[in-house]
Amino acid sequence: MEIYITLVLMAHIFSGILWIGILYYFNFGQALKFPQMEASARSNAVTVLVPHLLQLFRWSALSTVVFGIALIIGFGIDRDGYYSSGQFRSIAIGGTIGIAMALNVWFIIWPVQQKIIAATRATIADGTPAPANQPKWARTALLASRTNTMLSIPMLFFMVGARNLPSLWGN
Amino acid sequence: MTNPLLSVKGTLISGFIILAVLVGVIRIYYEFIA
Repeated sequence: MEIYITLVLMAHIFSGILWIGILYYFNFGQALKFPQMEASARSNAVTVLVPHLLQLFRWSALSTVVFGIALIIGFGIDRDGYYSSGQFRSIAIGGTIGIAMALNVWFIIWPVQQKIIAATRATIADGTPAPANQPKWARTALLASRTNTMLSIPMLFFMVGARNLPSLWGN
Repeated sequence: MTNPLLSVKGTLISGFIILAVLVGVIRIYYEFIA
C-alpha cells in the first residue's frame, strides 16, 4: 500500500505542477505579452505553441484529478477513520475546487480555444478574415482562465494545508 | 480590459480573498459552533 500511495502521490503532484504551471504561464506570461507581439509572430504562436500547450494542459488537468481520486481511495483503505479526519476535509475542499477547475479547462477553455486556433489557421491559410465572434471567444477563454488562476490559490492552500495545517480543523 | 478584477493583480487579490473567506468560515465554525 505504501508504494501505491507514494507512486500515486508523485503522479498527482507531477501532473498538478504541469497543469498549474501551464495555467500560470497562460495568465502571467501569454495573456500579458501576446497583445504586444507582432501579428505574424502571434499567429505563429497560436497555431504552433498554443495547441501543444493546450494538449498538455487538459490531459494534465484530467490526470491530476484521476490520480487525486485514486490517492483519496488509497488513503481511505490504508488509514482508519481517514474520511472523518481534518486532512480529508482539507482535501475535499481543495479537491472540489480542483475538479471545478478541471471542468472549466475541459468544457469552457478547450472548446473556445479550439475555435480560436481554427480561425487563426484559416486566416493564415487563405486569408479568411477573423470571425466576428473571435474577440468574444478570446474574452471567454480569458475569463475562464483567470477564474482558474483565482481558484488555484485556495485550492493549493487546502491541498498543502491538508498535510501541514491540522490545526485548521479545531485543536 | 476595463474590469480591474480581470487584471493579474486583481486575480491574485481575489484568490486570496476567497481563501480568507473559506478559512474564516472554517475557523469560526470550529471556534464557536462545533
